Amino acid sequence: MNEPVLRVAQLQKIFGNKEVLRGIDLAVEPGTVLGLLGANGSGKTTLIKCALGLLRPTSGNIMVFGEDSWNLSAAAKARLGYVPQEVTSYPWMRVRQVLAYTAAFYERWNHAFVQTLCERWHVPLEDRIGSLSTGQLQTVGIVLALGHQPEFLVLDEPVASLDPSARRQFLRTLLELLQDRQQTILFSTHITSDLERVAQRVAILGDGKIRFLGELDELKERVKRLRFTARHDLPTSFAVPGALRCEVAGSHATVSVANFDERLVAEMRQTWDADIAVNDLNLEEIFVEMHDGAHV
Amino acid sequence: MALTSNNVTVTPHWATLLRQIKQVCMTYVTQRYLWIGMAFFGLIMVPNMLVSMGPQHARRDGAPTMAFVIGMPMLAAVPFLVGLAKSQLAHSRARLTPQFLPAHLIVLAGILLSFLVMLPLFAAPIAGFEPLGLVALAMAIGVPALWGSHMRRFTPLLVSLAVFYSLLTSWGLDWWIVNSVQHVKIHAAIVAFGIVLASSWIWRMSRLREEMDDYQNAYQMLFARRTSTEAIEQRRIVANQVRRSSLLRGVGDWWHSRLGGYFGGGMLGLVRILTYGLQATPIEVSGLFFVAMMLCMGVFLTQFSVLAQQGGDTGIVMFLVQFGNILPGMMAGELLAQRRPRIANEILLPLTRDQLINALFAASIRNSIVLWLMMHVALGVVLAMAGRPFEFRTILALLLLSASSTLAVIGASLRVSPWPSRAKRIVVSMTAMMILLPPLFAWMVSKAAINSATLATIVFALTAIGIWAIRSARRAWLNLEFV
Amino acid sequence: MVETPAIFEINPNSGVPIYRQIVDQVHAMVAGGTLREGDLLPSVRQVAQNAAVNPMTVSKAYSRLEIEGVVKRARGLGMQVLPPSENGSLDDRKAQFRTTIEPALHRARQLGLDSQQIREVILSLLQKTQSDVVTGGSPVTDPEKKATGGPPVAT
Repeated sequence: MNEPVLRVAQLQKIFGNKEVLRGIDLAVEPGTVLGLLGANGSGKTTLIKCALGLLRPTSGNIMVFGEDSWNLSAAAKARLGYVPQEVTSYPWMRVRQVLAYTAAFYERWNHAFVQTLCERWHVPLEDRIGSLSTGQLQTVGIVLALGHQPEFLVLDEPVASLDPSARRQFLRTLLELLQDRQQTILFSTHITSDLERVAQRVAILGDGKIRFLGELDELKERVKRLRFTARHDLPTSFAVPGALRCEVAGSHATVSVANFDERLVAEMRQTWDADIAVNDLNLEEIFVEMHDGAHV
Repeated sequence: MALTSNNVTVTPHWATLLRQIKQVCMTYVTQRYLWIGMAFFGLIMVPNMLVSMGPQHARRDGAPTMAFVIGMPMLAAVPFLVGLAKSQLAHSRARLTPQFLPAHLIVLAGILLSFLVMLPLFAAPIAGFEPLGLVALAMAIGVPALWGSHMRRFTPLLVSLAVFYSLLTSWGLDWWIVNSVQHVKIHAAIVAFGIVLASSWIWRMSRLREEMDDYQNAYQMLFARRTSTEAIEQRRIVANQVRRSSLLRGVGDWWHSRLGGYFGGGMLGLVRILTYGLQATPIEVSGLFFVAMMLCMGVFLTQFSVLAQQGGDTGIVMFLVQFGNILPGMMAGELLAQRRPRIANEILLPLTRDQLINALFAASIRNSIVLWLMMHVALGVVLAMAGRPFEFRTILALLLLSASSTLAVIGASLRVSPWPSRAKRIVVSMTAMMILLPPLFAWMVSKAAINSATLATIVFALTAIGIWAIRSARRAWLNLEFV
Repeated sequence: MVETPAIFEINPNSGVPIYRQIVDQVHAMVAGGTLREGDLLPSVRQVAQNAAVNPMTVSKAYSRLEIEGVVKRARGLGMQVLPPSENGSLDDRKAQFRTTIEPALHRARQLGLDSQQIREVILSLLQKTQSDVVTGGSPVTDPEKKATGGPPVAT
């Protein structure tokens, strides 16, 4: 495999006396899509801002295209695109003028591509930034980040204010980019169903630490919910190794496990003399299980 | 639940209202910058009051003091009050909270009453003037400022400013203050009209709905942390301002149409392109407004004011130079500070951090220099029109001093520009100016007495302070984190 | 022939990984005769665009199918379905079936059935479905199934 596009090692970030990130290790390989999930205040935006050099790590090391993220060269920045959580731009400029302004800085700005995107997403080119709705502004932010066709795209909740249809269109565009060239994406969102479509890998952030980092498929195959129906009441000693969450009521139990294994289930059938139904969990359910489990 | 509702029923209506009023007052009292403003106000007010009780009591010499005591709070505090009132009443809670309006409107009316009526009534006997004239004066300055700030229009503010500056003329002082007994009818009419307009403002505040143009509030611009809704509101305000003025619209579009198709023009090209992010129109155009102000004020002060008649040339030039220093100097840092959220994105443009920050600094300093030049040309015109003979040496010294102190002010404003709170920036840079500008005035007052060597030392020191502050500001921006 | 892109019914928000859904559906379609030897699977691009999912995930499913010997990569054509007999080793298929039937046997025990009774149920089921199995072209034959079902019953 090539050099990772983004490599985060032992990242720690402290604001005042609040430790927001507590030792993050992360790598994004070229051509992959990493989805970043986490509860509110879990440090997603801080992580992204550190990765882009907008914030300086308290300790640890972040490399983007093999360069220190705080002091990125112009060449590295030309390969980078970022859609912030809150898009800001010059309120007095027309959208067309903001596009021209941003294009002026890039050696390779794809005007035709930008025009296609603007038509596809009905971007009001003659309106002033200040009069746009939040969703429209976010769309402009996305166009601005894609105009120079960056190799590495960083998206911090880019679709939060888009309607479902606009969101789907945005996802399709991302998928086209993935198809056509080696596009690397770091994508933070609360909308798990979007991640399920585009992300191959996911990182789940909680309390400033990575709780899971790996393939999305692997996560779905590993995290399952087991429903026990025993013939007798389950004993107080009832426990399942590797359980995220365990609820027992009489002869019934619902257990979420992080490391699902067929053989383990077969064993438990014997041990507790119970019927065990295995339920698949989608990403949203997995997130809730992991998040709530961590706070029990 | 039942307990709570019982409590409400036994409380008499007036007690509830009083409790609400107390809470509303708290929303004003807890504003930190209210207290700083009050302290500044006290610094101006108290000495002036003491002076007017002394030998100047009830005499024409004491009248200019009254102009400041009555006029300054109106001009300074009214826009702030409008912002605070809007943040409470131009809000969905004003519509949805039961019993919201009475307490809030009562407090608002109380504040207006104390500014427009109580303050002049209190000052009048101390200084020995007719109260009616002073109340009329307060109304004539305060009420247009109130509506001007409310509608975000400049024209009503011009009325306030005109009334305020008329106090610098002898006939203005006579008409408003000294001989106010002779104008009782007109003053009474002004007061009546002022009361109507002020009350109608309060009525308007109780009727604000979201679709109205004056629902928008620029008040939150003062503070560091804004919610995203407030950020949206700021965006709307700027866009509205551009849309409202066809001149601004035309110039802005013409300017931006010259932007397209540029890449890689080196440092100069970079500075040129980054200038577009500072203001909606080029400084060469927006500066004309300040040139006009300089010309109007200059001509007025040198030709018509009491100061000119009393031979106060130095004072006038001092005032005008100060105007031509502070404005371009403050602009350098303030425009960068307001651009900060956008610089957070621009950090990712394909430029190194050094390149971006250097070019941004160059762009804003260039703007300041251009504005300084424009305003000093206007000042030159004013002085030439006044026909005062100035030696070449005096003019040269004045320009050197003005340039170096402007550089120091630019440095100060850039140094505070990384701070997120605008109120803090203004307070600190104002204080810095109180330290930086006196050498200039000291030289003016005693220009003959100071020799070239001293002058050179002052110019050198101011320049050094300016350069040091700019370098320190640059370092701060290079290390700035964009939260 | 090239199948229409909508051939797969993909639900990205289900608990089953997308690649697994594709693999399972191809298996089922081969078993059910919808896909026959020589048929081409829709291209990765078509599937990805149609279902709005990451093309890499579709590729992953196709690679998996290739490894399992269900399809082969035909140069210039895409993924071509192989004859069913090559669908993995007999042991693999047995193991897969075992995992399906194990929970059912456990349930049978809970219901109080003994080994003989369970055997009777399976045999009757087999007889009932025999005709479908033959017309469906599945290579699975009677004795194999009984053999697979055997050991868990003994436990």
